[in-house]
Amino acid sequence: MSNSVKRAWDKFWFSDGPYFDLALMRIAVVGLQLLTLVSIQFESLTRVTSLPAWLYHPVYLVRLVTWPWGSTVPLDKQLVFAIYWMMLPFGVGALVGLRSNLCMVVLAAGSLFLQAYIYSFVDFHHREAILLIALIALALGPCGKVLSIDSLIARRNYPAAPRVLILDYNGPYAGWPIRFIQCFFPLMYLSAAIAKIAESNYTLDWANGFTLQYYLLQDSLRKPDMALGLWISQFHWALLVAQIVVLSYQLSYFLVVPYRKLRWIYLPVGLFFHLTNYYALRAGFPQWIFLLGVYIPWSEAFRKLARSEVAVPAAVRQAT
Amino acid sequence: MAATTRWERRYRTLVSTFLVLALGAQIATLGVTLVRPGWLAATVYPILEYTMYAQAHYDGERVTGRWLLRGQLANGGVIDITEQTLRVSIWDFGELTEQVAVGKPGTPETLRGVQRLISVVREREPRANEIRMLRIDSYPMKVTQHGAQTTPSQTVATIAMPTISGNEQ
Repeated sequence: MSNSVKRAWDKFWFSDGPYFDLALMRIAVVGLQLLTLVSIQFESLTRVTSLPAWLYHPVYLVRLVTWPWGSTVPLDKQLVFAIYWMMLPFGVGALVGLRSNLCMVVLAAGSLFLQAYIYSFVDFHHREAILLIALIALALGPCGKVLSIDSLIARRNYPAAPRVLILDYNGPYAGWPIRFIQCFFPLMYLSAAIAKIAESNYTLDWANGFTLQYYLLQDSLRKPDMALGLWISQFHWALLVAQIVVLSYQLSYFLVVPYRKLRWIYLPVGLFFHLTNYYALRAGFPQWIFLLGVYIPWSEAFRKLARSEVAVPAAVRQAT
Repeated sequence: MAATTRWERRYRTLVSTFLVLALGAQIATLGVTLVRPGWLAATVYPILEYTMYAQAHYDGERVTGRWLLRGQLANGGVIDITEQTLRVSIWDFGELTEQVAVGKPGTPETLRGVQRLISVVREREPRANEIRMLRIDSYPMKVTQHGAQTTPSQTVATIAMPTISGNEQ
């Protein structure tokens, strides 16, 4: 790698970033993953471990991990649940930031394996992958430097160490996991847009209004509580406009990486898009909604908020 | 910004490798999607193609959100076979019926799908022993500019249900 490329690479990925933002990302991502583990994954594991063995088609990751034990047969149910239960305390450790990186590594590896195992049977979904990838990135980054028990222990162990305000505490490795997810999101949206164009024989036919009407009706046949979706499916012209907006959004989302001001437009639109997806199509992508938060400079926002001034009417009255 | 210690240099190498692999793999899926959307499925999970709701649909098209699976009994009666009677999720039920309903007849994938469906019905449908024929009917709905309209249901696949003794041979 030439020096200039290396310098540009280091500048992009290893510029100083706030530890506070990374810690917030850790808490949000781990919190959501723990919630998923308890509320959804237990049920999914119960379901797949009761399915017949011939429905098992392990994905590469599962094949690789289970290769020494014979990758073509499903794992023993007890082993699967042993991994599940073992992961929970590490998840709690990662959430509160106790031995943060160790806990993050175990949580990320375990969550990834179990989700891939679930998807080694008939069906798979798209929503969890980005959260699992974020867990891996966090596990490799200094995510427990602040807002963690680790930081309290460090403070007690090094009482004479120089102090810095939490929002001002920056480091060269605190930014890359956030920037990584910021760069990963556009690739997912671009993939979604390319799929729509390629599936329509490289035309823009997808955005014809009928497509979204069709999916609203289709999902009403498979999901409960689709009353809103069914109602919306009558409005052809509104859905036509919505489809044009969606396709344009997904194709151009990558612009938020170099042009930060565009986030003021793309984030609210994205939030609206995912919430509408949930309420109208019952296609919940909470992981995506949470992770859109990586585009918000939290420490900067909190600092501004802390320094903002308010009028105090009582004080004004006293002065006069 | 430059790495100063050996530990830092190693750490940067590790992180850079991760970044190149993860972003590179996700970028590579774009090429696959462009040529053959959906081909990867979950094979290289958690790297995925995001092909959700990607197919275009048109005015008057039949809505195939679900297929109606029916069993014709030896006594001439017909029973509905649902995800509840098979104790699978609605998505698994969709996968099981979709392959047989829309697959090209005689292809290995369709034959595998047929075998899969027969096996699940045999293992899980309480009245499996009485079923002589499986039938998949389309859902009686089509999309129009004004929303859903009914359209007659059509049988898209029939499968003779092998008897258990015949299957054991």
